[in-house]
This record gives sequence, structure tokens and C-alpha cells, in this order.
Amino acid sequence: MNRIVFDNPLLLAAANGPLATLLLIVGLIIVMLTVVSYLILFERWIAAQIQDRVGPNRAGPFGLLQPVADIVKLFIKEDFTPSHVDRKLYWLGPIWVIAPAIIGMAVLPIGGTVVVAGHAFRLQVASIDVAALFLLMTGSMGVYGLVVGGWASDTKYSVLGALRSASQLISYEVPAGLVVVSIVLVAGSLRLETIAAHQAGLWWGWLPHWLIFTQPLAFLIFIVCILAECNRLPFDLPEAEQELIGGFHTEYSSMKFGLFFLAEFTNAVVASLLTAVLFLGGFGFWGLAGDQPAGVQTQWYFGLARVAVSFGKAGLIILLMMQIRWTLPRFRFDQLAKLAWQVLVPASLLLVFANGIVLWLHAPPWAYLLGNVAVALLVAVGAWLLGGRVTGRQRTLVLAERSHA
Amino acid sequence: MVSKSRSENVQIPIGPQHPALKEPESFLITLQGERITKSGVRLGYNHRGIEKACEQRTYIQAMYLIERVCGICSHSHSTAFVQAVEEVAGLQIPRRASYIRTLIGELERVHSHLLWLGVAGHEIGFDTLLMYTWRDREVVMDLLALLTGNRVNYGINTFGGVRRDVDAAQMEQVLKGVDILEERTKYYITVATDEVTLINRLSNVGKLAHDDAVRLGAVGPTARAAGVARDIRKDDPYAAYADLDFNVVTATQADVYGRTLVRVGELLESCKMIRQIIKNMPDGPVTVKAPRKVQAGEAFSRYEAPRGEDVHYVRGNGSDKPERVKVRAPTMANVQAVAHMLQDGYLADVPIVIAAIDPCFSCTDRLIGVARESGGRGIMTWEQARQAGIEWHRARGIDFTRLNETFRCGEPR
Repeated sequence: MNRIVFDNPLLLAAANGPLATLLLIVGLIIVMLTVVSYLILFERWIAAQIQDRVGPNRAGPFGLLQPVADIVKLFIKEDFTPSHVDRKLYWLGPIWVIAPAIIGMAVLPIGGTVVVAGHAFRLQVASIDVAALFLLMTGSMGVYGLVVGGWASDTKYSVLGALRSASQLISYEVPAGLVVVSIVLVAGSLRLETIAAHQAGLWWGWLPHWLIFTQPLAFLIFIVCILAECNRLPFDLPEAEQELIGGFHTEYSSMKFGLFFLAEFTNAVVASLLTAVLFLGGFGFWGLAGDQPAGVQTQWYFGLARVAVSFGKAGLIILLMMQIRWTLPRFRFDQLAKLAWQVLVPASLLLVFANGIVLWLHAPPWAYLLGNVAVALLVAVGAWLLGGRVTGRQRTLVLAERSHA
Repeated sequence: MVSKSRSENVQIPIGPQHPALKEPESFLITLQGERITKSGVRLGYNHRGIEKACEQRTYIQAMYLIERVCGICSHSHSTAFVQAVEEVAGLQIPRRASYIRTLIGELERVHSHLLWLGVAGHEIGFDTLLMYTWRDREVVMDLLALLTGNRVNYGINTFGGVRRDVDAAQMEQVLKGVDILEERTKYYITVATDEVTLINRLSNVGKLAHDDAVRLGAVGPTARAAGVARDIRKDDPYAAYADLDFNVVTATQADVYGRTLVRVGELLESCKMIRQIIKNMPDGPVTVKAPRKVQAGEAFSRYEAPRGEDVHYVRGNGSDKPERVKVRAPTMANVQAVAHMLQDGYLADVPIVIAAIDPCFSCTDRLIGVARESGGRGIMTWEQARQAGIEWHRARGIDFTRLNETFRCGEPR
């Protein structure tokens, strides 16, 4: 039973039996959905703090039962199907959106391996070789659901919203993919556990080898991309309330709408967990969670600690996403496309070359940082030279005095 | 059915019910991709028959009804109406009363512009700005409640003056409130002039150049943002405005960003004016006796509401009821410019462009019935109605047809 691969102690890639896998899947879905529904409450609470409001505090102590109330409300609402919709696709839409989001969670390494009662148990549903690609794929698949749902609704607002999400995805999938490529170059594997393991260890005994420190530009681009791919403000154009009513979910009600809503937040969680793995060393936490390659611990409580660290890091990224959401106005469509194609794509392309060169020269890790800074400068200078200047600051307020003769 | 449409153009209805609109109104937008090729406005979803209802009420009843034309600029409509009736009746109101009217009017402007700033933020997906400005708006709403007893419909006006006096303690409170408001306004000016995402989002959106603003008859901040320095408070001072020292805020941008700058600038000017009013508040009575029946005659009253020039016309026939009341809310003058502003814009800009004229559609809706002089009712096209109007005036020796060529008001400075 103990088929543990010890080539990299951090991986401890034990294969789970079918029963264990099933248990893990059910457990993960329950945990994820709970996290996601509380995330909605958390988001509202953060928004209230930023906007100097009280926030939800009616349902239960501190409003803690608000998610329960929300879900009950969604379930008891009338599940109305308009007469003009394409019924099959209309049903398929929400399922198609939520399914890839949940499937994406399967490949995320969130807790390493624990040994319980003599059996090795991997806290990851599927450890596959191309996990990074797999997550890019599930991200794109989810957008098909939006397009299908929007198209099946047969409303102009929905179709426009669906088209917007399709083109938004095309725009932001490219830089996101290129950033993943540059990270994969450095880590030398598409397997997420290996990428996380690559970031184990400390410089000067305190600074972790996390890629955010050597690849800050890649991190920045990736954050912008996941904001766009999760349809979150400032990139929530597909469902821009003020223009398109609800965008692709205009015609959906009850739990079908709830699935769209849930999928959006599940995507946000998966994307931030992926960011944590790619840039923040996965579950690495100064060895405190039993996560150092030299002394990886397989006790169950270390496993739980590692899961907590993973979600904690993802939580920080979600906090960042929420802060951005409540401090910026929504981008306009041309601004969004401009940002993707004129800034992010060239930057991430150059980043791939920069990382490749550093790798080829066998240069020390600080060279990656140098490469990132160089690319950032190049893009900034290029944008300035090509006249992509913003309107800029306008400090003077014109106060014209009108003489009254 | 989009899927069956063969043309490349898609028509999107914005309204009569739409999240971007706070009141029912219909904008039919023709799109090519995300670009607008054509747009049309259709009014008339919220006609309330207020003008007709006024004719069946006594002047004092009509005054309270007129105050309910608009929920935001209630004092503007009430004052414009009261001024017209006072002119017909030949009433001279005490100076203290005119100062109090001006004070309420400027507080109302602050409350309206803060409200607009929040709505504008909401329309571009910037809800935090909405929450901030509406929180600050509470300060001025509380001041209005303190002075008049109401947060929205103040009911301060009456024929011959105002219904309530303002005491020293209240004025002290107002000054304190204005200090807070001014500080917050300065913060919003920093936001509007420093926040690059906001500037990019609002610049070059909903362009209305100076000449177009004049041609389409835009009023208020919409016109002033195009450099048309047209402000009734300066051009034709009423109430206490002749005594006050203030600037007409204009901008050169001629877009939504310019309109934002004008409104935040006007917030500062209003704070300045409120301080002057309180400093120079004259003593004396606040009302003179007004007759129940108003003599025959007609008057035309102009008032610079927060949204622009508000026009009231009242004709009396010697009874206690007005014979005719005509209200032209500022949105009526601005709404025609919206179609021009939307041209060649993006769909994403529709909500903010509509919101940028600070529309108040319920106030705007009017019904015009055509009663031919030859007798009978019928339908006239716009051209016929215009021609009939020109001929009617010409027969009385007035010719406005070449007005725009001979007289151009509001040149930018």
C-alpha cells in the first residue's frame, strides 16, 4: 500500500485508492463550496469596510448565517425558464460553468501527503503531469458555459455579454499562458507539486525561494489576468450591470443563477490557489507546517496545517482581488483589449525570453529578478515611445470668471 | 431575435426599464459591435399631468404640488413657481426671505451634485465613490432637515417669503456642516484630477462641443462643461444672488470628465456662497402678506437649478387659481443633446453619458396637445409645429428665426 515515491520527499506522490479518492473528492467539494459561500459574505464585509458601511449583520451572529440565508433564498425562488430560450443549452449553461471550476480543484496540491494508520494518503485528488496546462484548460472551458448560456438565453444583453466574455478570455488567456510558460521554464516541470517544491528553501535563512521574489513582473501580469478570467471588477464587462443588465445571466433565476454566481467565486478560489502554488511556494511556510524537503512531516496535523497555509495564501490573493474591485472603476472594452494586447502580451512574451536567457546562462536566481525589472522597464519605455500615454493628470480646475457688464 | 437578424447592426433598448436608468425613459441604441451608430430618445413614460392639475388648484395648493415635480431639485421648482406668482401679484419679498431661499437653494445644489457624483461613480462600476459621496450627502440632508424640517421636500417657500425663519444656532450648525462638506469636496477634486483610471474612463466620452451645446440648447453643467458660461444666477440674478460673490464654473473638456469637473467645482462655489449668505444675513421679517386671489397677468421665471435652467410660466386671471402653468425642467433642454453625445461612442459609455446630464425624466415629461386656431384637434409634425410657432410670432412682429446667427451667448473666456 505504501507506494511512496521518494525522489522528492516533498511530493511523496502516493497514489490513493478509489475509496480514498472518492472521500477526498466529496470532502474537497464540501470544503470548497463552504469556503466559496463564506467568501461571498467576506467580500460583502470587505466592501462594507472599504466603503465605510456596516455590512451584513442581520442573519445570525455577525451575519455569519448570511450564506445559508442566501442559498435558501436562491433555492426557494421560482426557477423560471423563459419561453424563447433553447431549453437544452439553457440548462447546460450553468452546469458547463460550474463543472470546470470544480474539476480544476482536483489537480491543486494543497496539503502534500499524510500517513494515517499506516496508510499514505495524498491530499490531492489527481496528481497529473500537465496540471498547469490542465488548469488553463478548465479556465477556458468555463467560458464556454457563459457563451452557451448567453446564446441560449436569446436576449441581446445576454448574447453581448457572452461575446464580451469570449473576447475577454481570448485576450487574457494569452498573457496568462505565457506567464505560466515562463514559470514552467524556471521550475522545469508542468507538474504543480514540482513547481511548489522548486520554491522550497530559504535565502539567508529567512527569505523563502518563492517565485514572487524573483519574478515580480510575472506575478503582476498573472494577477491582472486572473482578475479578467474570473470576470471580476475592474474587468467584469460580461455582466456589467449598468450596460447589459446582468450580461449572460440576465435570463437566469433561482439556483441556475446561483450556479453562475458560485462558479465565479469558485474560479476565484482556484485561480488564487494556483497563484499561491506558482508564486508563493504552495504550502511552504518556513518549515513550520512540516513542509521543508529535508524534513517533510507526514503526521495528519501537519497535513491540515499545510492545507491551512494553502488556503491562507489564496485568501491573501483574494483579499487583494477584493481590494482592487472596490477601489477601481470598470474598464471600458477598448481599454481592456488595449491593456491585454499592447502591454500584457508583449511583456509576458519578453518575460519568456528573459527567463530563457537566464536559464541558458545558468545564472543565479537574482538574474531572474534583473530580467523581470529589465522587461518592465522595456515595456514602460516602449509604451511611452509608441504614444500609448494615458490622458494623465489634470491638476488645474478651470474656474472661469464671467464679468457681468 | 439576434440569431435570425441578417444585418450587422444590433438594436439594444436601454429602457424604459433598465438598471442604468433611475426613471423610465427609452433610449434605442443601434450598435455595430460595441460602437453606437444611431440612437434615439423617446420621452413620455412618466407623464403626471402636474401642469393641468395646477390649474384646478388654488395657488397655495399648486405650490405644494409644484414642489413635487422633482424629488431632488424640489426647492428649484417651488422657487421658480413662487417667483412667477409673486411677479404677477406684484409682491416684493423681504430681503431676509430671499437670503433664506438662496441658502436652501445652494444647500440643495450641494446635495444634488453630491448625489450626481455618486450616481456617476455607480454607472462606471465605481461603487465606492457612490458610498462615499452619499455618506457625505447625509451632512447636507441633515442641515436641510434642521432648517426646514424635511430632507427632501422642504416646503420653505410661500407667496411673499418663506415659512420658517433661521436662528443663530442653526446658522452655526450650517457653517460647521459646510466646513465638513468643503473638506470632502476638496478630496473629491483630488480624486477627479489625480485618479488616472477615472480620467481615462470619462475623458472623450459623450463629447458635446461648444457650438453644439449652444445649438442644441444645453443648459446647466452640461453647457458649462462645453465652455458655455451660461448661469441664470449671473445672467439674470434672482433671490439674493446679485449680492453674492461667486464664479461661474466652466470647463473646456466638453465631455463627461468636464461635466464632473464643473460639478465638483460648483460644490466649492456653493460652500463659498453659503458662508456669504450666513455672514450677510439681513434682519427683518421673513414674509409679507400675500393675497389669496392673484390679479390677471402672466410671468416667466427662470431659476438655475442644479441641473440647469428651470423655467416656469404662470398666467393668472384674477381668481385664486392659475389659468395656465408651464414647467420646463432642465432635463428637457439637455435630453436632446444626449443623442448627439452618444453618436460613435461605445455601448459601455451609454449609462455614464445619459447620467452625465443628471437626468430627471419624471420632471421632464410633458404632453402637448395641438388645438388649431381654425378649431379642432389634430396631429402636427415637429416641422409643422415649428413653422406654426414662427408664423404666430411673426404676425405679432417678433422674429426669432435668425437668433443663433445674430446673437451668440455664453462665449468661452
